[in-house]
Amino acid sequence: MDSVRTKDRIVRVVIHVILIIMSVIMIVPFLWMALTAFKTVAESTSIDPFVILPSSWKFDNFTTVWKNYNFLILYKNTLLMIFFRVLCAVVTATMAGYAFGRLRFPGKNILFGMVLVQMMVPPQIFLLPQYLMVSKLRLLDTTFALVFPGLVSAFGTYLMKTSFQSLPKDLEEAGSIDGCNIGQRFLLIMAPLTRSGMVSLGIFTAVFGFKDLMWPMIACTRSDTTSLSAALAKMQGQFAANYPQLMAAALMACIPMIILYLIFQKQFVEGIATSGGKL
Amino acid sequence: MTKKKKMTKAQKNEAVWGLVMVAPAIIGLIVLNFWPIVNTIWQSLHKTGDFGMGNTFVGLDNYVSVCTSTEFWQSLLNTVKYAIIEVPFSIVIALVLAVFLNRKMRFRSGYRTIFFLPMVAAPAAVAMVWKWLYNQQFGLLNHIFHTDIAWLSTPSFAWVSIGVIGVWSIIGYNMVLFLGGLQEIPHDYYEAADIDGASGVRQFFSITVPLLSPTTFFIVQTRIIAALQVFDLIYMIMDRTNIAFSKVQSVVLLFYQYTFTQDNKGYGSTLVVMLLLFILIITFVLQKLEKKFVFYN
Amino acid sequence: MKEWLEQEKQKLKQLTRKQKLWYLWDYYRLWIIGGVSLLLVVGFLIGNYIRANRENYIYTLYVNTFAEIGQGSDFWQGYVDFCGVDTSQENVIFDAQNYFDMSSGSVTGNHYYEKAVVLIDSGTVDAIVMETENLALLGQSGRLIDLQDDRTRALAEQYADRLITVTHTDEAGNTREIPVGIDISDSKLVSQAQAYEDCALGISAGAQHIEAVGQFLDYILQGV
Repeated sequence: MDSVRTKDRIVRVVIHVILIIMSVIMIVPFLWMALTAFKTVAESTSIDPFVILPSSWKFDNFTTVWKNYNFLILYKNTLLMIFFRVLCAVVTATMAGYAFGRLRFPGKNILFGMVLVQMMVPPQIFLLPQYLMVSKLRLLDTTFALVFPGLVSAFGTYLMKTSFQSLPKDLEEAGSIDGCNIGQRFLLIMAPLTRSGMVSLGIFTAVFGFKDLMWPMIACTRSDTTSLSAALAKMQGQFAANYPQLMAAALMACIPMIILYLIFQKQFVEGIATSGGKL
Repeated sequence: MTKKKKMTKAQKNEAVWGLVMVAPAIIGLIVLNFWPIVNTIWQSLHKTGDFGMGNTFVGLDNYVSVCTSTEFWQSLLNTVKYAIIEVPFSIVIALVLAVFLNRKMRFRSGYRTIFFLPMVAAPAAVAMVWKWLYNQQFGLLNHIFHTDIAWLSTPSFAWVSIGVIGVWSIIGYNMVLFLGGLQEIPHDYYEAADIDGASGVRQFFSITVPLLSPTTFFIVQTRIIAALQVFDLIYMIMDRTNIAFSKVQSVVLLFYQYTFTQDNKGYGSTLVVMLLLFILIITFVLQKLEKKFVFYN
Repeated sequence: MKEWLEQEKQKLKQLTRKQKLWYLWDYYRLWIIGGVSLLLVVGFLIGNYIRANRENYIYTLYVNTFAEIGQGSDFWQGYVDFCGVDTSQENVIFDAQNYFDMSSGSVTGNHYYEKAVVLIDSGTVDAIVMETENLALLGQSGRLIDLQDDRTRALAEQYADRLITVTHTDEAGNTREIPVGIDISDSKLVSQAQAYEDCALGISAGAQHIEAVGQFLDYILQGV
């Protein structure tokens, strides 16, 4: 009995060690970003000696950047954009994913092929045509413009299809026996089971929407309608070599994303499939 | 050959629901994305007009130029080499991490957040730090290993260095997807296996791997497609004056140069179409493998 | 279809008012929500289009300058007054937050450059102002209009002594000199606004408001 327990402990320790090493590797750029945000310009660019810790921990860079840019509006625009992109992408992708994954209808393979093809081309080719579309709709410089490219997601559709396909078939059959129509089966039974898929999709849509820089830059050029990442890029141009301020801004921009992730990460609730799997 | 059977009422119902449910996504994709793709193909058949003149139709001329250009084939090779590093390594590492982090343990949320961080980092910061790490004179790597290697400017392995950065930045992403897939495996299987006395490793290979195969396949397929389109990473870290540049340049980078910098949209579009064809071939092969290796309920 | 309609009607007949509504909600929730959302979105789009934004009077990009010449600045106001534009009816856009240098060997991935390219290619931008050398390099790529083109010939003739040309070799090996820019280093931009040391103006290949550009040139070259 004892040997089992010690073996268990050794395994756990090994796992922790590996995780810690990986964490360090992952976290180095962030530490650098954070440390640089507190340095002076000279400290940040000096190569020899290489400065790791700032000499003084002042918040100057943060306050300057905050004053120069209306972060509140940027937060608002970015959060709205992310909210709508996630909502639309998750809703459309889940519906389509269910249909592709579980239903039969004519043209299914062709349509799904079309979905896949979207992912196989570089996103730059979408820039100009989408810009022209938004321009013609006279929706430039609006929140709608920010949301536009994220309205539907080919990746999301594929992801949800995979999620639905991995669910056990018995549940569906139980549903149809009970007299639900397909819509109810979808809404009340199947969709809730793919919660982890939806959460993943939500997280990715949010992250990619947040990092999306080119589109907000051309579709919303006014500084009161643009998003955080585009504003960050503008700063990069203006403070060409002022890394500390740039890092301070980047940090402030990251924070909402991290908070969102922490909140939704708890949604990864385990074993919903467990309760439904019992025969 | 028998004629197509008429559908039963239930099947018709299913068909209607199916079409309606895909409608929003499909319509959106057609309007937003499909039309530009068709447009690109159309453009690849033209020579774009300069200085305010119109486009001229040139048929397959662009394709001939692309296929006979060593630059293109080299960039395709570079892109494939990058994918060979990024995809397998990031997937295996992410899978291991996800399995670890799926168990109950202390600080689990903390670890998950840390591994997720590279995804939200500003690309500019990431580029700067890695350039610093790889720096020949002052880089941390050369400092630790007491070597003097030009990680980013040696043509023979600069692509490996870039591949490593690629792996680093995508582990978190793959891990999130794997976690999602792991959540969907019912606990009962593991409990039963525990009762039967199966070891952890045995359980992993007999339960986890097969039941996770749909997710794994999904990740493999989407990552291959995405890795073959690598662009951001390379342009941020390497610039044209770097001697190793031509051995790292990806197809999308080449496309960018022709379409955006040189305003040769016809040639650029042709590059995109060629890449698309290449990816289609690979996807086709993957689909065949799917039938063999992936286990759906 | 018809049978389904009949079936539903039968079912509904038997229910009371309240039960009818609950039944509909229960079974057709998805359709109802979807339909309503669709109507809202379409309504929004149509409404927005009607209340539409104003047309652009002119759209000018300024590259690599840190001077205050964007919206609301004195320089901008001067132009608005000069042309007598009613800014509540039409937009006058001076976009001065762009930074790229075409001579640095690589504009690959420079976001401002990408943005400029998209705006030029879509015909949104009418004129672009940069350092002379920079403009010539941009002109090489063919994105600026050949000033001898019909649409801008008048301007080419008017400013014949300020033209900036690039040498272009076409497929057949013929070389010719194409005027793509107008040197404005002695204009208000430099002397008053101090936005550049030397600069030139180019007109994008898809420009829509060439007349307004002509007015802009008149405005900044006043008194020269």
